[in-house]
Amino acid sequence: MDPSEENLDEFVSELTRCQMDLFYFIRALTGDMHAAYDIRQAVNMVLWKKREKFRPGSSFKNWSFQIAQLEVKSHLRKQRKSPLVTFDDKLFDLFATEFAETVDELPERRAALSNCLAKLTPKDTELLRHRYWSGGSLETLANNTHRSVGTLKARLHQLRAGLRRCIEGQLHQPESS
Amino acid sequence: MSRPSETVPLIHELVDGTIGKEDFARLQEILLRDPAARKDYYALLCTDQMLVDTYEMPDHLAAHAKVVTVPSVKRRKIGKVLLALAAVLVAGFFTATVIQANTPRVTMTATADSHFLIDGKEATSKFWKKGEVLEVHDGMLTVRLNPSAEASIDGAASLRLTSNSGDIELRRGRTFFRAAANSADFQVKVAGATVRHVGTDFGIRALDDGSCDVHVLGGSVEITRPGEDKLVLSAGESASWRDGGPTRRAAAERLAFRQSPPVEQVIFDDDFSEPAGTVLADKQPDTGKPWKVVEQQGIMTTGNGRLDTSGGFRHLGAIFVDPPAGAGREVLVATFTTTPPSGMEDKKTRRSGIERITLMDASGKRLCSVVALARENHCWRLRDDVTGKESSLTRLSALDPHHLTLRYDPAAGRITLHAGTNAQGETLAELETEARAIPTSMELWNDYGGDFALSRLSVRHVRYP
Repeated sequence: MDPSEENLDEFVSELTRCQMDLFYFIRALTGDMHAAYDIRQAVNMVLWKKREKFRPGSSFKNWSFQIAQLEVKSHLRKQRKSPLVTFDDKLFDLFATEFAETVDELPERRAALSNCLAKLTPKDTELLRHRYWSGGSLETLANNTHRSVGTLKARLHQLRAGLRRCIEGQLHQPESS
Repeated sequence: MSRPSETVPLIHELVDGTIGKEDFARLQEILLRDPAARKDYYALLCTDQMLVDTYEMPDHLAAHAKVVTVPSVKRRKIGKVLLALAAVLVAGFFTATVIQANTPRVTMTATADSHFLIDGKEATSKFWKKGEVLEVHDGMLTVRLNPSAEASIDGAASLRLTSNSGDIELRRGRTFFRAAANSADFQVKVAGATVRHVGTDFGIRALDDGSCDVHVLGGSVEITRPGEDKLVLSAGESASWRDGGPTRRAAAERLAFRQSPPVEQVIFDDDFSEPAGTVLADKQPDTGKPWKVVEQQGIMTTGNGRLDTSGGFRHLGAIFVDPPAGAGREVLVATFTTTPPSGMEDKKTRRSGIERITLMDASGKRLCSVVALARENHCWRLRDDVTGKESSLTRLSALDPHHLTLRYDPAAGRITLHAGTNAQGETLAELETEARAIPTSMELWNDYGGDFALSRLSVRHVRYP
């Protein structure tokens, strides 16, 4: 196989493989899931245009994150005049440096989340399903279950925090022999 | 130190997209100076995004997951042009092509009593994707075909989604469509014909013998059959045919289709979240009338997230609030979560032990039960208390942690037991019932060394108009 073809093949494979991590990274930098979807498309296009600059054998993730960081910054700069809230540059750079470590743990975090979800009560599962699966408003669920929106929102926050603790508890558990 | 009293709630607001400008500025200051706060942000953001991925795995992520799980792709010698084309396709995979055109946009909302399968399996997301076959066994599904059109599918029915823009093949059953005049186009293929809406409310019924009928209640529809002129039906008209046979026109049957979802209400709910040691008799549940204790050995208490019958025989009553008044078919869906009871030491030696959860009518008559016997390893089965008939034994023990859902449908003469917190879970047992009354309470009963513990008991009432 022509080396350039082989490189292209590897590039395509790496680009595909890093999509999920890239999305989490962009979401952390923007703080906005919907903006992250749009920006990832733009980042993919830039990565494709700059594919010649990728050195096979080096870390595709690091390279793509560096490009994503610049792209997100450029995107946010354009957004500055809009009413959207955006992080300032110093904090943005801190996120970009630190978040990569969290991304490395994502497969383990996902497996742990699955275990943690299995331990929830039906009432809590129902709340999560409503929020994340059906995409329904908390008002609808509040009406159906005779609870206030404030109660549901507080419970949702408790649940998310509880799941985070549960996930980290599993990540830091010593491996049984 | 501001964490966690102030920072974490602000991070939640940010993750939810509901943070205000002032709070955002405050949070930003905290994040800048506090590395621990930044860790909180990373962890909570990841948790939120993983929940999004878990509950609504869209196609582009699912496709990605498939790629990741294939560790090595056989490299083939292909021409530069093809390779470049493939690369462009993959690079564009997450851009307009997939994210917009192929992202599943058809979403489903199920009633509490519904049981449906996608390609023969329990649904794992709210999306119905192109090529998938949806089989609605019980209850009703509302499917959003596009922002201006929805379909109400009444079980039992079988449909296949032929495009992500809402085209459907109705194989069997009844579906009512409601589309605004400006709604994006969608078509329904049924019994060899294509039905296209022209801004309308219409119902289609496809029968097992290959015949079907279309009833238009508002606007109009176009029906195209091979070898025939296009037929336009207007409001108040219907047409019926068998594949290959002649088309007959008649007046529309307004009442042949269920046009709106049923009314659902929680009529009992208790998660036993009081302090441990709370006396059960007359305790007010989260929803429902005060608990009734008919018989007990010692004083039955609850709390700390558990109702545990260990320590003697119990005969307890969970009394439902009155469901909303009205006529129509009624279905009850009772969900309970079992946890191991504290008294486990005698569960293998006392072979007469019994655990039972029973739906009762207003006169105190037993209608149907889930029953577990010690001699059957405490595994649940269904029982029709009117005829005494029982289902086959399930594999789930009353002594183990499980979410279970009992669906009681007296109009259909059927009771089913499902794994999970709603009737959409796996059907563990089913039974015909001759009970016809609507339950007003639930009896929890254990004796002869049988015990069970619940961490949640919830009952929903569903009434079809």
